[in-house]
Amino acid sequence: MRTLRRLRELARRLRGTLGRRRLEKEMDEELRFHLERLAERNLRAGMSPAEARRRARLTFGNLEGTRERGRDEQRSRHLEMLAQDVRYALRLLRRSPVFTAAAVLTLALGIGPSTAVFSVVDGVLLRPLPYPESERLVAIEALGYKGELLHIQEHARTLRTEAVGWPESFDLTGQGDPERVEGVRVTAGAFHLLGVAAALGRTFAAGEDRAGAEPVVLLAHDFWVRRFGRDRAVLERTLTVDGMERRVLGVLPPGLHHPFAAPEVVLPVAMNPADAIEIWSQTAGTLVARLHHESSVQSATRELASFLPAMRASFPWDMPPDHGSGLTLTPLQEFMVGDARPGLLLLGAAVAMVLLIACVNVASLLLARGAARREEAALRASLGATPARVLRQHLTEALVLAGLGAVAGVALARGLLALLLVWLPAEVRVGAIGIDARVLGVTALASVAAAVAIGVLPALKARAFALRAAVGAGGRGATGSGRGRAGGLLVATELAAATVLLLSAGLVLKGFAGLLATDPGFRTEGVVAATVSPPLYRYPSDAALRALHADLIEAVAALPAAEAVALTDRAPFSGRPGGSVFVIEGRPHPASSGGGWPWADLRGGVSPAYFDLLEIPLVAGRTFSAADGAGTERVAVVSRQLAANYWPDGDALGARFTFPGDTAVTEVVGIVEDVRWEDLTGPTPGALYLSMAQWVSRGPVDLLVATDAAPAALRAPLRAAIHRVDDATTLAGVAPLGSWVGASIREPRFTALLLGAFAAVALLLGAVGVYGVMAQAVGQRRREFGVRMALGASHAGVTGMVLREAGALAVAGVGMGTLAGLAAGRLLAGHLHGVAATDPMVFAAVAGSLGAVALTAAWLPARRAARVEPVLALRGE
Amino acid sequence: MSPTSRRHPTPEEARGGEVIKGTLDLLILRTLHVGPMHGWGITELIESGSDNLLSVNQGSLYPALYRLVRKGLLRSKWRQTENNRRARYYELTAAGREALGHERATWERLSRGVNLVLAGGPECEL
Repeated sequence: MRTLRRLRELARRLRGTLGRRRLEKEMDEELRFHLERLAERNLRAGMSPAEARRRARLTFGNLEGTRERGRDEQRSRHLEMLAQDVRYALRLLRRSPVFTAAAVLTLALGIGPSTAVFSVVDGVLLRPLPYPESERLVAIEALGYKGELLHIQEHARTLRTEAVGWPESFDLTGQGDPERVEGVRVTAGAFHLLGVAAALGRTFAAGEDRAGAEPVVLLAHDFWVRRFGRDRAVLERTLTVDGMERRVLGVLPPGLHHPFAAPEVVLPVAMNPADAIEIWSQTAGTLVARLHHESSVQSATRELASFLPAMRASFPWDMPPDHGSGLTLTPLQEFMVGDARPGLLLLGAAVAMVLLIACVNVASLLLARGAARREEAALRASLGATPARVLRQHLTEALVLAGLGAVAGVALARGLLALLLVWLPAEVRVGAIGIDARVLGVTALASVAAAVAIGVLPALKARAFALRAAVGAGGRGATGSGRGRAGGLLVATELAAATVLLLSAGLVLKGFAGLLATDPGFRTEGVVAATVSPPLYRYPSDAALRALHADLIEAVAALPAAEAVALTDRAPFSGRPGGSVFVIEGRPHPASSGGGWPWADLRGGVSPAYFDLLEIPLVAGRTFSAADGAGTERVAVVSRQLAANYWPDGDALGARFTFPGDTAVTEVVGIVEDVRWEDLTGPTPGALYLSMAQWVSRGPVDLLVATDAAPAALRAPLRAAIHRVDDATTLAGVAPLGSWVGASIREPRFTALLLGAFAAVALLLGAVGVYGVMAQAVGQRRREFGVRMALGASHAGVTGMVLREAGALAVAGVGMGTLAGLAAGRLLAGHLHGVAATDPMVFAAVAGSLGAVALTAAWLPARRAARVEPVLALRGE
Repeated sequence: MSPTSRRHPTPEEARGGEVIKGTLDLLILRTLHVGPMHGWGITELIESGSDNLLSVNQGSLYPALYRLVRKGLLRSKWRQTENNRRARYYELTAAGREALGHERATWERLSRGVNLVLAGGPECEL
């Protein structure tokens, strides 16, 4: 109640201060009304009109005094003073537009990137997932078979579990052009578990994820808008998805992202609990669970771990004894964006550093200006401005500057954010990222902090000066050396911060350059890759699919632009990795021996031309030929790494193995060189290549075309050729194979480019800062230089002296920064891709270039110092 | 006869007592307890209500009104007067009504004390 009253009073005072003109007008009108009534009474008492007015005024007393006291009562003195200070600051800033522009621009360069990066950090890391009680949502890692899901659903008391599948593509046919859409399969209760309701219609109901249930589909909001123009009658329609008619159940709310990536359609997972082979060989996707209120991550993990033996025993075949041992419950948000955290934190640290540098820069600008404004300060002090008032005036000026900088910075941030969002890896975006009230609030706080940072030192200086002036020690005598020390300290700080930033950027950029130079082990020049998705429902048998693959190769090879054509079920960097365990014949079976299972990081079916086309050298034996088809003995080619892993004695050729759950024996007939598969760093993957004609892939396949033609020119003929084979086949991602590789380093590129840009800003600001402070110091010491030169110092001597001082600052700053950089190296781990966090070349280059920049920036002031005319300087201003 | 000799004396001229500093707030609150009124009306009501014994100095009336508004005891609104003039009317807020009670009690205590002293109790022989 009392607080409320106080607030109301404050509001009234604010209105009083701000609506000054209106207030005056109202008061005048009120007082005039009173005067007129007085005069009226006098008239009624029988006076002449003139006399009545005169006496009224007399009776009323001192009108101006009343107005003055009225004003006092209505306005807060503090706010009045603040308004005065702001007006004064604005007038001052207008009077020196160059200074103002420099300060505002510098602050904008600090605040803009901070705001943009913070909005990303906020959207990705800080804001909870857009689901009710999202803190109770977890991902269950290391489990995911349909059988495991069903077991958990049936027995778990601590949590509810559903599954969200991996992104898939689906063919839409039946109306107009066949279209390939992105989609995902989820279990029936997934939306209910997350707390997502349909925007139109309903989501899945229990039982709709069982084999034999009515085929249904949900539409994403964007897809509904794009394909059906917001037609609500869509609920009465069906959609032909992968050749199956599905009833449209509903439309999902807009902006639904994770954990669904960005699907266009959502289908139910189809599970048949009675089919043991199906449920224990197929995964349902990521298991997403909601903890019950009384349970914790620990209790739920304990419960799930207690299910492991029973689940392992339910598999119709032997599972490795360590299956499920990696069982972990991870908060869903962390599960989804955990990988992005270090990169974003690094960028956050970098922008904070840029902001710090910008603040230091403006602080030293203000300090220099304060020195130039001595006369004015002395005048104000002698006119009775209290030191407190002077302090406040300076802080207000800093606040106004920071405010202007924030406005410019937010404008800059908008542009920057648009760029960031283009570069930001898509899987990291969990929700809306934008500059909203929350981000603006943080920016405002940061700006106030910046104002204090930039204003407090100059303000204290000015206050100290006002104090001295008040005791009569002002004027010219008071050119203390303290200000010079403060400026030097600021510059050293600034250089230290710039050093840290440049070191980080240098190391990360060097790591990234190393990535770019990494040889993936296969030809990327002159190879166009594309993903082909045939409508699988049209090819129910392996034989039909095998024929389709052969027809596709033949049709594309007939194109004049195609020099060679290969097909594979997963090209390098296709984003469809897939490994496999296998069992080597003649060795103890891993399930019974308890040893580790042989594991190939990659199991890929390829057509005969694959190795030649990608120029993957053959090490021993042979690659596939057209003869390795159905009905002949199954053959495999292994990579050098896989051979070294499991046949270290060089006896890989001729070795025979099987896959669990399959009886066909495959013989190794060749060894090829290693290639990079998913990423350019990390351990070399071991690859197991199979003949595509023998292991037919039921899924999308990648087409590799050796050609001189540009991908854009190839797209139309390629599509036509494929549609001649099957008009419902879709084609995606037609691009140079090199760009597929490049896509794998999106995130390192994002980090490296941004860090590099921020470091460039830091370097620029650092140079400006050194220049500003040195120029200021030289200007202030004109008399000293004059004396020195009059006493015989040479031009070169004076220049050298200034440069030596700048050099000392640079050494101090860069030295501090290098030490800090060594300490900060840990933050960079994971971004360096093989470069040591103490890489001497980077440290040397950064120290050298910053030193050079600092000296160059000091060079101009140094020359000016040497050009001081001794006589003029000595004579004084 | 000159017009001056015919007129009634104004309250000031009737040498009505100047309102004691500190009681003006109470008088304003009491006057507005009846209903909203403008500054002039408050003056008139205090003067007539006190049988012209009290007069209000306009120089302190308006600052006092603004102060009471600032304290949240009054609020003001522009309205038409009965003669179709625009005037600022003041009225009590809930807090103002509450304050009136306090001020009145305080005043009554004070005046009773003053009266007792002036009447001269047994211990106060003059």
